Amino acid sequence: MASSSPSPAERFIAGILPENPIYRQLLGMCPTLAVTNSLKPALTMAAATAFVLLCANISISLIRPLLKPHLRILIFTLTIATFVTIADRVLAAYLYEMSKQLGPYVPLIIVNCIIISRCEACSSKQPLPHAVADAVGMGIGFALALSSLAFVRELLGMGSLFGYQVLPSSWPNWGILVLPPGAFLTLGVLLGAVNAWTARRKARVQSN
Amino acid sequence: MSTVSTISEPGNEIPAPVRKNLLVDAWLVLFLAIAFGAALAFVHAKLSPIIQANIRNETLSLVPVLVGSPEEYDVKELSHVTPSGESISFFHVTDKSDKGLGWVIPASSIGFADRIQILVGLDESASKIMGIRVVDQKETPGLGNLISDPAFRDQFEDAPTSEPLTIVKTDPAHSHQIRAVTGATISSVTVANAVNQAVMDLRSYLAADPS
Amino acid sequence: MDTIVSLFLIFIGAALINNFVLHYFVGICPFIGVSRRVDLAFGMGCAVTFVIGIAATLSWTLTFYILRPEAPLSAWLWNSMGADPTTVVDLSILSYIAYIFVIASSVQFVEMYVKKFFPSLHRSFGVFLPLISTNCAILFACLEIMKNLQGGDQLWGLHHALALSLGGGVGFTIAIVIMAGLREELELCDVPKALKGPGIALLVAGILAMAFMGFTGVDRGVADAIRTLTQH
Repeated sequence: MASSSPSPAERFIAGILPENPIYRQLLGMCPTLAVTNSLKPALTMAAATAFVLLCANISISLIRPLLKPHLRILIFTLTIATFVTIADRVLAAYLYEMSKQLGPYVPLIIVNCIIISRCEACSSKQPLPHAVADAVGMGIGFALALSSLAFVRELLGMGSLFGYQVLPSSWPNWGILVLPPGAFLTLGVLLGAVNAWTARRKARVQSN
Repeated sequence: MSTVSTISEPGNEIPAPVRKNLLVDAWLVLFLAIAFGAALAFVHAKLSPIIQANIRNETLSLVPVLVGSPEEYDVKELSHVTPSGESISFFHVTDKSDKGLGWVIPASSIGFADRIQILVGLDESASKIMGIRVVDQKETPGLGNLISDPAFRDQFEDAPTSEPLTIVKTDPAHSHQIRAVTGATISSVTVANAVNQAVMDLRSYLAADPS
Repeated sequence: MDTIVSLFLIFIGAALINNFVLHYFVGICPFIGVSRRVDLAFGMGCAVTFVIGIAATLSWTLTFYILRPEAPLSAWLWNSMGADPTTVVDLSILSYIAYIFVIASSVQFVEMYVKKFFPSLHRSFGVFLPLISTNCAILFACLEIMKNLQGGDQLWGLHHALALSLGGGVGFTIAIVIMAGLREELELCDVPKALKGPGIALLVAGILAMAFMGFTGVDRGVADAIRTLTQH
């Protein structure tokens, strides 16, 4: 896929689609399914996760030389939990309505596999610029995945985007998409679509 | 955190370089813990008052709306134990000259999916409902969800309190009847029951405290 | 009688009506990843239930006595240090850190227990046993307990906390075993290439979630029935 030690630019590009945390790595699906019934909470969640990912990557990359193998998971967890607490408090203070809507899913960022796996795979092994590029790339990829899901669910399920009515009122709202089953169904269909598109691109590249 | 023993006995002596590494690791974790603890204490001190204000304003911002949106008003928070043993806290709205403008009482009941919480605004003599607002609900989107919409909740404005309110599925024939949300009878009935409960709670307070 | 009814309702609510996996979307990663064989899925479900029970007990105790505002132990410590007794001691900012460490310790404890008493099971689990500590369901149970220990009225006791977490664990086990059974059948079906693996698993999970939606309102019905019965 890449050379033994990917450069910052490679890390950045990889996070957006080739190693997209949701569609390719299938990590962090709990918030993906839970908060994507409309676009506003989806983007707020993506922003909060990107914030925690960036801060955690920077911190771990800075103390990289001091990390010992048997204590590293402990230190990752402590760092991530601290930044998630800060993000949660900031949301409750300045975006109270959205914080109530997101509910328990903001503290669940702590056990979001994306962040621990990035700490383990990248920031504990590579210096600061690589860690920052990786965090930004993964954050953008995560935001794209969440918005694609929320776009479909809100548009077809409520006829609106960001709360503004977009489809005419004659559209029968596909209520199932806003409910829990709709989350599973939409993600399954979108995942299939992404896989089909990637396979077709790979076949076209190979046949050239 | 670390179990390094400083007593070296011949049998369980930890080799010197490994012991030094364990100390270094413990120092790192302790240092991080103290640094993060300080950061969290700072965040708590700065943001906790703002969050408390948000929680209070959530209810307080609705209170004047439910008694007719007066220009100038004072809000007093009171508490009362109902005959059934429940302790409720509610609001009395007065104008600047201490004349009563109305009451705002919270009430809740279990709806179709989960608990529905509402605020009921009553006029000063508790003879008429001035309006309701649904504060928290998790009903089905597109069906029970619509109890928060003005189309349903506006029916409660100017409803009399002389008799308990009932829900009907056809057009209301009587001022005590409220038309249900189509396809969400249980959620509508829950709201009506909560409103009736709020009226009863206020009545028990006024009977106990004539002032 | 009232307590038993409310415990029963909390348990059924967490297991069936608001199933942790199919309604709250926690525990999805093992649900999609570990559900290929029924026996492995059942073992994973039991392990998660065990860990949730231990973690809920520890986190309830920690929250009730130390972390919540006006907690007894921290208030006593504050006063015995001679500080101002009117200030409210609120350590809740440390909640998330405390919970994640409680969960990590519970998983470590369960892993040692399984290694000693069920070594073959421990071998077949492999790396999935330590990964339980990143299972959202356990942290979610701790957060629900914390939510019900905040208001002044109706604080949850340890029995409520255990009813919720064991109910959640049982619900997770039910969901993952059903999913494993379905996927064993899907192995023999002609699934389109793009949907093989997680794609078809998600679609099947969606239909399963629709089926579980049929449980809505069951707890209200049961509570009303019990109330009518006990009135006679």
